[in-house]
Amino acid sequence: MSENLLNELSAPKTAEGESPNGILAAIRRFLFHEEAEEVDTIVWVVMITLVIALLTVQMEHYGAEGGQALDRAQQYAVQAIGVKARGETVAGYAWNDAYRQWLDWESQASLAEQRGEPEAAARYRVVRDRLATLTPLLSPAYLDASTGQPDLRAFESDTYLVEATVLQERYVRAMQLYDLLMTRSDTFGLQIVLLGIALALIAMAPSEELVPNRLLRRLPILTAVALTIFVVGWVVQIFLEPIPVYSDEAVDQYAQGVGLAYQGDHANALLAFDQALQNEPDYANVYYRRGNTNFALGNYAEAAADYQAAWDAGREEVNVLWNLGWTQYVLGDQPAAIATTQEALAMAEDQEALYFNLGLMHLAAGEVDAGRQAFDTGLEYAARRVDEAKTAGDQPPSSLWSYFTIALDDIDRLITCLESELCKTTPPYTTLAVDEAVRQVAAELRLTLKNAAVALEYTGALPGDAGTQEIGAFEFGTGEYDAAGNVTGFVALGEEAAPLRFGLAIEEESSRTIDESLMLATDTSAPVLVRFPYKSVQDGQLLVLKVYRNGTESPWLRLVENWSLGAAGEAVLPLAPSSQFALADGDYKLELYLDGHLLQEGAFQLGG
Amino acid sequence: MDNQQNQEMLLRVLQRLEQNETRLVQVSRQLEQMVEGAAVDKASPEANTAAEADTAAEPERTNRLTAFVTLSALIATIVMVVISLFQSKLDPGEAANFGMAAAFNRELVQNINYGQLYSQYRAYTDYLAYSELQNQLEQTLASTDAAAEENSALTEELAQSQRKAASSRLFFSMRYLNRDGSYDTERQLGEAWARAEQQTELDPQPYFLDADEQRSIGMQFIWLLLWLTAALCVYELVQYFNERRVAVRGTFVFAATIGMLLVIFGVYLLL
Repeated sequence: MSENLLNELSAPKTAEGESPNGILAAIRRFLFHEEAEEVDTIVWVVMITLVIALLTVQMEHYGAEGGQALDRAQQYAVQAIGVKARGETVAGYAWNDAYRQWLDWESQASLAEQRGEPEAAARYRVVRDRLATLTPLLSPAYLDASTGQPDLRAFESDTYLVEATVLQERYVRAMQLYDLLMTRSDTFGLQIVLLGIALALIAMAPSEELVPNRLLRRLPILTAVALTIFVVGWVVQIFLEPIPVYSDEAVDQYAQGVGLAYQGDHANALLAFDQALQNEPDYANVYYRRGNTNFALGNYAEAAADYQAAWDAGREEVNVLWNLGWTQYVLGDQPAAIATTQEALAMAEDQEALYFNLGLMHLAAGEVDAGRQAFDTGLEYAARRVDEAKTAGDQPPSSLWSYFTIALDDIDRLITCLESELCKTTPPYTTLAVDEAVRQVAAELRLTLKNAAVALEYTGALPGDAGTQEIGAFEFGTGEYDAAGNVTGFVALGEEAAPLRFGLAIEEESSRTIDESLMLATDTSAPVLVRFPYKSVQDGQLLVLKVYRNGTESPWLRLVENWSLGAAGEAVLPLAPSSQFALADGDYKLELYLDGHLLQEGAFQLGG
Repeated sequence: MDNQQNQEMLLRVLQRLEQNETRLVQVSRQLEQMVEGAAVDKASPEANTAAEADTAAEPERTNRLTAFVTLSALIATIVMVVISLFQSKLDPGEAANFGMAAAFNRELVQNINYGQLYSQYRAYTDYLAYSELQNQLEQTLASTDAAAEENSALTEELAQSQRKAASSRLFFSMRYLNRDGSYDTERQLGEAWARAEQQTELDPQPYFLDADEQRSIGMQFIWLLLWLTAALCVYELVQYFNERRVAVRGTFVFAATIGMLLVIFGVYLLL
């Protein structure tokens, strides 16, 4: 029809002043009087006006729907925050108050039993059981009677985590819907403007007296017609794009999965995520979470597929590429891992952790120069971040130190894999480029990272040149003390039983472990000391002593102070922060840094 | 049938329509002449001259139609202005803002109430522990025939637990204690909620419903405006119709007018 009209508009008049034959012409001849040009114009004006009116209705419709979606989104956001805050309050009370008291009364009961006072023990246990009625955390549903440990994560999950996740997801979806509807509404607004321009063009068409040439005279109208056809096509295209329909059931199943994964129940979390995807196959967040769950279960290929699906379904975030790249690294597909990580870096070019990952991937692929370069770039960004924070009078983000710790763990695992073929969360040994250069660069980069982490944290800059100071090999042992509590002798660990410490009052009645590395000291525990010779050390140099237990650093055991023991001699340092604490059993490793340079490492074992 | 056949058939139909239209006009004129002739016979002989001038009636009818169309278009325009005025009075955003404020207050009040409740509940936890121990010790002392030394230790422990329970009692409201010694957390939350409700709006739903209703009315107004626009377009088109197409013009004008009247009725219903 439009084509016919165009022909009509552009075709020359016949001798009688009539347009050529055709349906459109016939209809026009039937309905209208003879002034063809005027009729054409008015018909187009009417048609454009009607399209404008229809678009206005659609614009208002989508605007109203968008407004409703925004209202819902805001409500969900506020509710999610409220549910989380109240949940934290309830869980905080349950753990820090009710359970702490419950433990205290149980401890009193145990001590009374040890003293041979069963009646007192029974009294304390009645009190303990009464306290257990105050919170569901201490009910059989969450409290393991055999160990006396409540399942806090399950309690948190049931109390607020799942509900808050549902609300959070609904918020995200409502915002997505709002965004989509408002984009449509705005697009209709733009189309109305274009049609307004079309009307203006028609109004601008000159009269026959001014421009006798028919085609030239009708050029503005032809342009208006073309513009109108374009807009109508655009409108049709918009209507052909469906508005997503979200499944509340899928959201509920997703939230259940999140709650189960939070409790470490990855197998059931996987089932919940599978169900959510059955209800909504394009649910990007489910793919992402399922990817994390599959990774936790060691299903690396499935995890990579999930991350890719999350990206394809619209979760185009750097953390998706980050995880995908890392999973590809663990799978041993280094070209893909490098490409994905570089894509992630294109989105977050100053993310030092991604450079550390990239460096590892290059090392695994045997590209030592590229690996070194990636680590150097990461360190430059880290130094810049620290410098910016210092300039602004702030502390660098603590996540930076976590990234260093994680990168060091990763490089340690890679070195272990290269040297011993014990490969855990690393690429399979058979996929690695195993040669001396890789080993050497990996060890060198490990040292660089360790030095940089300490120097940046305590001096705010990358370490300078190493000095001439020397630290001898570590010896670990317990001390011999005089009456004033001064160390007079040193008994190496394993040589013979260390003597009791002097002057320590055992104030606590319980030896309950309060953290991973430390125990409250008992009268049978003696502080572990480290002894080492040193020379060419200057007073005032920054000493950092890091202690690792079972492969993880215990920050509360870290010793940081300025050197004050003179240029040369033998140093004896305690490892525990105070005499009230003793080291728990485990495998320990010690690192000593001076001015951000790792100068000595050593290891020892406590207990079995 | 192919397109060409379709076109030819359509053309034939249109030609027949045109012929019918012409016949209809002729019949209509004859009828008018008969009616006017009868009236003239009854009224005055001078009128016979008017009957002869039947061709003058057509422009007159056209003028009447044009006048009607112009008047209707004016009415439609006025109704559009009225609708626009009512539309401008609607403010769903304001209602939604009130709703959001209430939703925010609601969560804030709930969080504060929970915080206050659990700060008191901690004190109650201490109180409960020591008062329970106190009960246990009293029972033990009442039933025991232990040595004086042991009784003395129990009495001392009883005194300590009494003091601790008493000091804990200062930090929570006794009004929420039940007779069995349990703590009525729901009642405390409920009373705190009631107090807050007297101070500020905590129910967002009526506002959001109001916003939705206003949006709905606004949409209905927009639809009415669309109909009026269509009516105006028809009135505009009709003026360019061939004067000989009386029936077609009449039909279009009738439809547009009915549409306009329905819109006016719709506005009345909405208001």
